[in-house]
Amino acid sequence: MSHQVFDMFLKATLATLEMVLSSAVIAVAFGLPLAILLTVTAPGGLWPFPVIRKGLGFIIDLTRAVPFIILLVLVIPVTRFLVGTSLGTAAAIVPISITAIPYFARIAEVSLKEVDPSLIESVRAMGGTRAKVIWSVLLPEAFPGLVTGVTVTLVTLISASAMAGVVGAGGLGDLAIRYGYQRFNTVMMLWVVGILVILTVIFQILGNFIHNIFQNKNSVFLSIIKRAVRST
Amino acid sequence: MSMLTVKNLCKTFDGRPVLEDISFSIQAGEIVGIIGRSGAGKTTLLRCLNGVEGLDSGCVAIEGRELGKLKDKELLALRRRIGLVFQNFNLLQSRTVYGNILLALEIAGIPKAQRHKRIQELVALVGLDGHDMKYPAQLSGGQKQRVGIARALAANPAVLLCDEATSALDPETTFSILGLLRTINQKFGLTIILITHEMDVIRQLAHRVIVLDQGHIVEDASKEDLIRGQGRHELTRAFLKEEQKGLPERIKILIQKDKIPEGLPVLKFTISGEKLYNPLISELQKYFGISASILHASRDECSQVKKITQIVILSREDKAAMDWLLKTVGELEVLGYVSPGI
Ligand SMILES: Nc1ncnc2c1ncn2[C@@H]1O[C@H](COP(=O)(O)OP(=O)(O)OP(=O)(O)O)[C@@H](O)[C@H]1O
Ligand SMILES: [Mg+2]
Repeated sequence: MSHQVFDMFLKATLATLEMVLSSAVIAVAFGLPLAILLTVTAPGGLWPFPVIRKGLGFIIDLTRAVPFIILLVLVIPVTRFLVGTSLGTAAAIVPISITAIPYFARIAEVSLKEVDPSLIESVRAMGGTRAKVIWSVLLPEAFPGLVTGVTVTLVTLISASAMAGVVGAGGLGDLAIRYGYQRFNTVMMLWVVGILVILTVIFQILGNFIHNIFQNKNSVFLSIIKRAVRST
Repeated sequence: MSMLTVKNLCKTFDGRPVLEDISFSIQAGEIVGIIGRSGAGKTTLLRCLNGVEGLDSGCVAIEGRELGKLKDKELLALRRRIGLVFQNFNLLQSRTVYGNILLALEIAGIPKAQRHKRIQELVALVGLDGHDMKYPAQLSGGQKQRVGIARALAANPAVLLCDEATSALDPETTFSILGLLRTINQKFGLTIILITHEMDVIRQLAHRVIVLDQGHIVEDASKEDLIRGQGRHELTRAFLKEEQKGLPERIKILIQKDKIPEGLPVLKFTISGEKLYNPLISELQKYFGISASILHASRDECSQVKKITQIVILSREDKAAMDWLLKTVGELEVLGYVSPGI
């Protein structure tokens, strides 16, 4: 592989990472509060509120029902408004985030729902406020599940970012389309696929690792962290 | 002062009465056992006591403050004055022993500077030294319940409510947990309400017992009365009988439940700890002129705490002697009577 080509791949990989990671951050930042809202407004939840729950659930499901490739085109006006252009890496972050938020919200909701309700009730009975329950029970108890949720979202976003190449997003998807599809350069295409696979595997391994640290409470690693935190 | 007062409490679920006209009052420092069959309404009663469940009518007052009249915020504050111990412990899996106790201190708003010291005290009190950095998944059931008790005590509650605190534990662990609760009651004068379906738990710990049946109180008696067989409701008797299943058959057939003329009382008592070395039987002779013949004695071998259970026949019935014995051994039961000739 020539120096030039290598450079191109490196740039494309970094652009993909930029898209994936920043949309994941946005997905968590917006999706997690939505998931919390969905969980607490559920019947028998901390703050049952069927109207909010149903309305929110409807919007989320609607967004998820739109195929990504159509969403890419649909949100172009929004992207133009937010970023100033509909082309390039930064612009691709908008549609990718818009699919990622409801996706992560639903995944996180599942993890939050799995938290033992009797724990929540007991902390309420001990005189804990709702905020305390969310902050000290719901989130920490669901944490390992949330980590897995982030991993799943990341992997999904890798493929979404590649698809965004179609509308000129840059990154590996763009490379595959320009060289692989338009110029019939199969080798190039295979390289792109290879890199995507490697990224996916790395994310998965990292995610599993973090999940295991928090799931497995006697992990040496975690006790070292805890000790360090306590001694400061 | 009355720590907790319940007046004419009624509670229904979907129009079906679960608790009807419940009234009782508990003094500071008392240990009261509430016993009843499954579905009698024990848990519901407990939930009414800390205001998690609303009442249909009647009132509950803790330290003279009526729950129904409190605003949300005041109710939360009052709940922080009530320690809760749960059957299934309800510990956060994501926090260590230390962190779980810390949770209670955070909720109660104890200043940060005092928390560490308080946790160390509590860990030592419940006998978990060296375990404070462990997660619940790494603890045994008994240890988990000790954490539950430490957490319940963390914010210096006015009263401790235990719902089947020992039902998930084996007899030996139950014994040590009940011992811990007794120590806490004696040390700090803490009022304890224990919910259970086992008479043995009540016998070991309670000063007083309330028997609940299908939402009604059918008995409210001191433990002494219970032991002497006074004012026994049918159900109370059933609970006492269940406990006797453990007696050796040869003794069971000798004993008659009801008083017979000239009958000699048969007592069962359990001695543990330092009391093991009291020369009980010779003291009975010395102080009261009563001789006691031992029918049966058994030692609990597997228990960490040495325990000896004895069944004896006294040469005559004597109230003063019984009171003295009860005070000395803590756990005493009149099994029944035998005719003098045997
Ligand atoms: N939230 C509820 N909705 C409807 N019925 C309820 C509810 N909670 C309890 N009940 C009913 O109230 C009755 C008393 O229940 P409760 O849990 O107080 O019994 P309990 O004495 O604690 O029994 P156990 O020993 O099995 O714990 C039961 O018949 C139960 O079905
Ligand atoms: Mg119950």
